[in-house]
Amino acid sequence: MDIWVVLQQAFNGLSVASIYMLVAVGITLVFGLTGIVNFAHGELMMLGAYALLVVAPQGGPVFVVGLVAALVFVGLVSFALERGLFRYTLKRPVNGFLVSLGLILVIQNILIEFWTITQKNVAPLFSTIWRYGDLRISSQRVFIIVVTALIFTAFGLALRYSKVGVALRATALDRETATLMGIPVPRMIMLTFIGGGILAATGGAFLATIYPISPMMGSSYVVKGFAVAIVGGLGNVGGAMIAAFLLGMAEAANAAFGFGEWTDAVSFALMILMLLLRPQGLLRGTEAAI
Amino acid sequence: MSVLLETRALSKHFSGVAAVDEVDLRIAKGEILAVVGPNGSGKTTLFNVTSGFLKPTTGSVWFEGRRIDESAPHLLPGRGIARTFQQAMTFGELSVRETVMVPGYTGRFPKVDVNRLLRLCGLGDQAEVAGNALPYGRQRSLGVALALATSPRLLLLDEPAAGLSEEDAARLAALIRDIRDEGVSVAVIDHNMHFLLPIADRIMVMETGRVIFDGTTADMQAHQRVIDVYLGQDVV
Repeated sequence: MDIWVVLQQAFNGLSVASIYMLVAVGITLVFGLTGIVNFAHGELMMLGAYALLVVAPQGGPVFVVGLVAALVFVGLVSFALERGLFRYTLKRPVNGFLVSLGLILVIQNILIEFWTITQKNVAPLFSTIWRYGDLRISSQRVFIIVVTALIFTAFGLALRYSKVGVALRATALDRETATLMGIPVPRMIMLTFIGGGILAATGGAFLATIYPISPMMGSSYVVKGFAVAIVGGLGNVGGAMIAAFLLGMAEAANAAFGFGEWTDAVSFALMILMLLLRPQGLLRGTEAAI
Repeated sequence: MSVLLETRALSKHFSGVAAVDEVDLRIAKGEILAVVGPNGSGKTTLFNVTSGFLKPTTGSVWFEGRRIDESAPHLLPGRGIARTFQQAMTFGELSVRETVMVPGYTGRFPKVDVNRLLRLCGLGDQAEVAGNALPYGRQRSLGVALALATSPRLLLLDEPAAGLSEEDAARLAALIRDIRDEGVSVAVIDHNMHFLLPIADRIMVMETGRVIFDGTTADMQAHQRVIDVYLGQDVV
């Protein structure tokens, strides 16, 4: 096997893994705090991509403006969905799951109405391609990897050391006891929806700069996001990040060995295998502290 | 003694059934109040309404002269009311020390001496053990320590001695006295009269949501209705 092909696929896999991480962490956090399996999370990612398309389709420096607009817009949508819908399902998380399924169709149809089902492209912030031997390093993908790493470093530190982070972890572990510690649990849940939505929007905006986007894009990424969240242990942020990395690398290996068309099948086979052999995930779920 | 917490004609109905019915509860500063009664008599519901986890159907709750029943439950610990639940209160695999430090991280409470608090609750030698790995009795003590870490002036304990060995129950009784001696008022729900009678300054007995007795231990033991519905003859 050509070493350049392996390196190329590993690099591409890392950039895709970054996007899986951005999607999966919101899924796993919302589940950890509320028990809600929110399949509409992928639509938040898609909305982030389309917000970028509207504001900055031409790429270049204006991408930054488009990214900020996408984050603000999806943050507001997440806020509205939590306040308007999901908070009424907290006592019965299965209702939240059903609401999320309905939301997928509603959001997709609204987007199709305005932008049709045709795939669209967004130009990246950076378009330089560096070459080392047969290896082609896209500066946009490097940007995605580096920014994602920075986001999760900051996120991990905040979760561990900030007051909000400790409050969030305590809420995920025991909502009632957290309330007794003076933690405003409903506000923590709202913040988690907003934060998770913003991370998904970031993933969507990043994805839009490396692959074509369509109103249907959310579903395949949310299923992979769930695969990652389950493999990592639902409710476990660190586990989701590790699983996203492994999934990205597994997909890269598939492509490197010439089985690119089997990528999704392998991903879901891994998820099913994990659920059978280690139902609690790679790392344990919410119990093990997020 | 001045009144710390008071409920006025407090009622809580579930689907038309009165779980708590026109209860006038008073807890004085520095007092240990025992709340007893058969299962389903409304004791825990009374605590849930008092600590803000449930809104009353009618009536009101007052703490240090301020009405509190309209407050969100997370605001009450900051005002000086802490409680424990019947189930163990741990934060997963966080150690005993980390668990009692959580209230400090939220920035809503005065700093407490964690080592002293753990010693007070008999957990000094298990500070680094994961909360969910403690034996059951010690988990109950951890719940008390966690509540005390919010520096309360009123502590509501919901069946803290349930499932404890005699030795653990005796240790808990001594702890409750120590807490009171430090100026914290305590209200305790429990069924174990051998645990409650020696420490209670006053006893309130509930039956089907209503208070049927409120007075001293000695008076209760002579109260025929309490004997009939709850005590039986063995404790008298």
